[in-house]
Amino acid sequence: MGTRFVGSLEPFKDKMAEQGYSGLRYMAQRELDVNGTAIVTGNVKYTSSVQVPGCLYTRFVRSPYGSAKITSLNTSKAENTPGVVKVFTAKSPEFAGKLYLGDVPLLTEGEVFFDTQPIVMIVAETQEAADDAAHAVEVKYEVMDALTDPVAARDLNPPKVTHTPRLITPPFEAERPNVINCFYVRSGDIEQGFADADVIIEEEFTTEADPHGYLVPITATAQPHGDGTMTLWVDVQNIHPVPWPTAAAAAEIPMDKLNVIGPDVCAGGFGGKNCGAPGPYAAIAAKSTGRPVRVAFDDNRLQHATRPWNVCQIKAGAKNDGKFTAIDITFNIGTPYAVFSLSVMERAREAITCTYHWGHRDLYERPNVMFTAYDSYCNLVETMSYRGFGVLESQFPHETMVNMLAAKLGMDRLEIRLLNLTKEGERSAQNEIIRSQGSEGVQKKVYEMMQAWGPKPSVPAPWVVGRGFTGANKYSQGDMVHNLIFLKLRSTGIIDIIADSMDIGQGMNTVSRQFVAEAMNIPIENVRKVEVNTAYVPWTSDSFSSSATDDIGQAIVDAAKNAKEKLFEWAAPKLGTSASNLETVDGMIQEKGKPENAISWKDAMAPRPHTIVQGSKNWPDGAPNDYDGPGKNDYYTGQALGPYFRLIMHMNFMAQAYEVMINKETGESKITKWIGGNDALPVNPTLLEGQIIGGGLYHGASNAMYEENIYDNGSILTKDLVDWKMPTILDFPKMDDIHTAIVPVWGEYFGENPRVNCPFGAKGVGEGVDVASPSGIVDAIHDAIGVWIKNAPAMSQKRILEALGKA
Amino acid sequence: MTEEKKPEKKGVSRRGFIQGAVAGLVVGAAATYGATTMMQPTTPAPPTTPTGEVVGPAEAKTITMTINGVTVMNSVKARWTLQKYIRDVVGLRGTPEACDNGACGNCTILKDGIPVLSCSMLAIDCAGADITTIEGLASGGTLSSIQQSFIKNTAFQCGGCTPGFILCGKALKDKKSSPSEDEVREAVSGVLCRCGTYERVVKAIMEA
Repeated sequence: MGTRFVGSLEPFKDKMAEQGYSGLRYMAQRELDVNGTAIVTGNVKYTSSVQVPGCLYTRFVRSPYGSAKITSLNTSKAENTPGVVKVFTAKSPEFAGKLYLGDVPLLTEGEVFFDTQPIVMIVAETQEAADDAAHAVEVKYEVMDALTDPVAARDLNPPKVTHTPRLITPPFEAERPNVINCFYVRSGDIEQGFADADVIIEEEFTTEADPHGYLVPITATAQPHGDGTMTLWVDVQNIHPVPWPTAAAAAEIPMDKLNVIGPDVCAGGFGGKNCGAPGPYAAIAAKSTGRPVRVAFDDNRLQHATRPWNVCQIKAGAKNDGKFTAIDITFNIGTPYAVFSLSVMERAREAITCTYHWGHRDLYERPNVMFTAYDSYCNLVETMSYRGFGVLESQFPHETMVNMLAAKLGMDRLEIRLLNLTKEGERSAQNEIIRSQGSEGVQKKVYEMMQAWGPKPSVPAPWVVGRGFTGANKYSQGDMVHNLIFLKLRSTGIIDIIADSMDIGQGMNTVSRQFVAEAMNIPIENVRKVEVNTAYVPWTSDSFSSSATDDIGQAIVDAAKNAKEKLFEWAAPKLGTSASNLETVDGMIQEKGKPENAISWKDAMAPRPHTIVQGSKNWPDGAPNDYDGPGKNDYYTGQALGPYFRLIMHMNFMAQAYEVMINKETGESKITKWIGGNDALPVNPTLLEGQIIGGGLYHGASNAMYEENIYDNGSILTKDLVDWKMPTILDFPKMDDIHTAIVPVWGEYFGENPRVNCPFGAKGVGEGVDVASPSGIVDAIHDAIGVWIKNAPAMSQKRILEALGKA
Repeated sequence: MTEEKKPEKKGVSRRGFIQGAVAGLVVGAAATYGATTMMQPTTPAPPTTPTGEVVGPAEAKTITMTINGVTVMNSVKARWTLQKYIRDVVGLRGTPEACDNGACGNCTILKDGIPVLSCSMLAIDCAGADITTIEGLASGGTLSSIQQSFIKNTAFQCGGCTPGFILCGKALKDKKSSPSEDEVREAVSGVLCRCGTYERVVKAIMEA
C-alpha cells in the first residue's frame, strides 16, 4: 500500500469533547462499512432485484439517429406478438403530451433529436416477448444533418435550428436561436486586467460527453394496488426531489397515493441515477394495465444520459512575476433537452470563482473575471448530472491554464498557485465569502509527497515519463431548504435513522451512524438506518453534488441534539439533578463525571417504549447578510445579493499528482504513480480514502483516459462497453504507487469566522478529487512529450499520436 | 468533433444476435429494430445440449445442474442465459444484472470451478454443471475467508461488481493460495468497477 497521510486531529478532539460530544470516539474513526456483510453475500436489496409476482416486462424502441424525421411507424406486428400486453407510442393517451422534467417528451413522435430517444414502449408478459415485439416494430426515418458542435449551435446564424421552444429566453441573447439559457459573471475590470498582463494565453478545451458508466442498469418496478394507490421501487440516489413527483405527475396519481421505495444501496449512480428516470414509465404502464410493471434501461445503459459536451474558450493573463490579472471563460454546452445543463453552468460558474484571485489583490480591488456560458440545443445525447457536474468541465481548462502560465513564465506549478490562491474570508469574483479554503495545505502536502518520488525512473525508448500536478476546487450546493430527518429512540438504547439520502456506495449508511454515535456518545452498532420509503421518511435532500454528509449530516446532528435534550429532560428528576448537568456515556445517561449516578435509556424513557425526535438543516428567515444561507445572485453579473450571500454550501479543495508513461512510437500510455489529496475532515478516513482513490483516481482518471464518445452525424458509435473503453485494473498503478493525503481545515468549524449549520465542520467529499484528474494527467503528458492536449479524455492512442503529429 | 467512421454494426450485440435469431425463426418478421437493419444471421447455429442434441431457440428442455451444492432441475428455454436462469428462475439474485454484454465481468459465476460470464452463456449449455454463485460461499452462517477479507478491507463501494471480484478471487486462490499482486491483477482484470475499488480488491484477495 502507498502512503495514507491523515493530518492531525488532536486539536479537534479536545474542542469536540468541550462541546459535550464524545471527542472523536466515533468520528474520524476507521469504522467498517455497515453494508459489508450484505454486499459480500449477495444479499443487498438492489432495486434490480425487486421481484413482484405477476410482473410485466418492457422494452423500448429507440432512435438510432441524432436527427431524423419519423416518416412512418407501424406497431401492428408488435401488437400481435404473442405475450404482448400493450404497445405505447407518443399518440397513446397515457403518453400524449407528457414531458419529463420540463421539456423531455417521455415518448416522441414526428422528429427525433438525439440517438437513443425513446419512440415506442412495449409491455409484455415476459422479457422475451417484449424483446421480440420491439424487433417487430417498423420505424422509417428520413435522416437529417445532425448538429453536434455546441460552438456552432450557439452562433447567431447556426447551421440549423433544432428546437423552437425555449425554457428561458434572456432578452439580450434572443438572437441566438438555439440558445436555451446563458449564465454570466462580470467582476472587476476585465479590459484593464488584460491590458496590464505581461503574458496572455488563449486556448480552447473540450470536455467530451461521457456516460456515467454505472454497470447495473437503472430499473423501476411499479405495483398498483387496485384502490388508486401504487408502490414504486426505483434505483435512485434519492427518492424525494425528483423521482417521486415526476412519477406521480406522469401517471396522474396524487403523490399521497404513490409510495416510492429506494434500494438498500443504489447500485452505482455517479449522478445518472439522480432522477429515477424509468419511474414515470413504470408508473404509467402499471396504472394503464393494472399489473405490476418492471422497466429497466438496459438497452441503452451506457447512453441513457451523459455529462454534457462542453467546449470551453479561455483567455487568461498574468504578470511576469506570476500574479494573475484577468480571466475570460466561455462555456459552450450542447444538449438535446435543457434538463440538467442549467445546473452544469451554475456549478461551473461557482467553481471558477473560488480558487484563484484572478486579478491579484494587490493590483485590483476586485477579481477581473468574466464568465459566459451558453447552453444550446444540439443533437448530442441527453445530458444529466454527472459527478461534479460543471466542475470537471471548468476545472480541466482552468487548472490546465494555470499550468500553462507556469510553464510560460518558467515558474513552479505549486509556486504559481500559492501566489494566487484566494484566502479564507475573502470575497470571490461573485462577491461571496470564501470559507473552508484548504488549498494551501493540501497542495503543499501533495507536492511534498510528489517530490518524495525522487528522480524520474529511466525507461527504455521509445517510452518517456512525465509528471503532472494540479489543484482544483469542487463546490457543492445541496438542497438547503428541505432537510428534515427523524430519529426513533427505542427504550432499548437503539436509535433508528429515518432519512432519505441514499447510500450509493459512498458510505452514507455508515457515516450517518457515526454522526449519531458521536453526538449521542453511543456505540455505532446501536444505530441503524431504516428503508428509504416516502411513506414515513421526511422530504430530504439527496445524495448528489457531494452534499449528503453536509446536508443530512447536519440534520442528523441537530436531531441527536434534540434527542439528548429529550432524554435529559426525562432523566433529570429520576437522577435528582438538572438536565443541564447530564451526559450520555456508552448508552447510559449519567450525572456529569459521576458514573455512579446513572440511568439506562429504558428507565429514563419509562413508561414510553419509544419516541421520535426530528432534526433539520433549514435556513431561518431574516438571517444576517453573511449567513450561510441559500444564495441569490444578479442574473447579468453573477454577483451574490443579499440578504443571503452564500451561493455555495461548501467548497472543497483538492490536489493531485500523476506520473505517466507514454510510448512515443505507438501512442500507448499508462498511469504509473498517483497521489490524491483532499482538504476535508475525515468522518471516516477509510471511506474518504475510498472516495479519493475510487472516485478520484479510478473514476476521474477513467474520464480523462480513453472514454471517448464517438458520434457519426449524431449517431453514437460507442454504445456499449465493447466500443466505449473503460480502463481496467491493468491500466492503473499498483498498490504501492497509489497515495492519499487528507489535510483537514479547522477554520471551517472552530475558526474566527466559522460556518454554522454544518456537522462538526465536515464537508461533502467524493467528487472533489475526480474533477482534478484531467488537468493533472494533461500536465503529466505535457511533461513527458512537451505537448498540451486540450481534450478530455486525453490518453487514447489516437490523441497521443495526434499530439505527437503522427496521427 | 464528429468522427468519420461509419456505424458498421449498429444495433448488434450478443444479446441482439440471439434475439435477432429468435425474431427470424419464431416470429418470421424482418428484423426492423429501430429501422436499423440487423445483422441477419443467415444460418444461425442453434444451441446444442452437451449431448449434441439440437434445440430450437424457443423450445424448452429440462436440465439438471448443481447450484451451490443443491441439485436443481428445471425446464429452460434455449434462449435463456445462465444469468437469467439463476436470477429469475432459481431466484438467486446475488449475481448482478449488469452490462449484459460480456464486457464488465460483474455477473461472473464459477462453472465447475472456472469463472465464466453468466450473461454470455446459455443456461442450456450448463446441463450437468456444478455452479457456484456468491450465495454459495458462506457455509453454516460463517463467511468464507475471502468474504471476510473483503469486509475487512472495505473492498467495495456500491457492491455491484463485488460478486464478480470475489468469485474470480476464489477461483485463483483455489489454484494458488498465495498469489502475487500481478497474478491477482490479472485474475480480476476482466471485472470492471466504476466506483474504483480495484486497489482494495487486490489487497483483499491477497490477504484472504
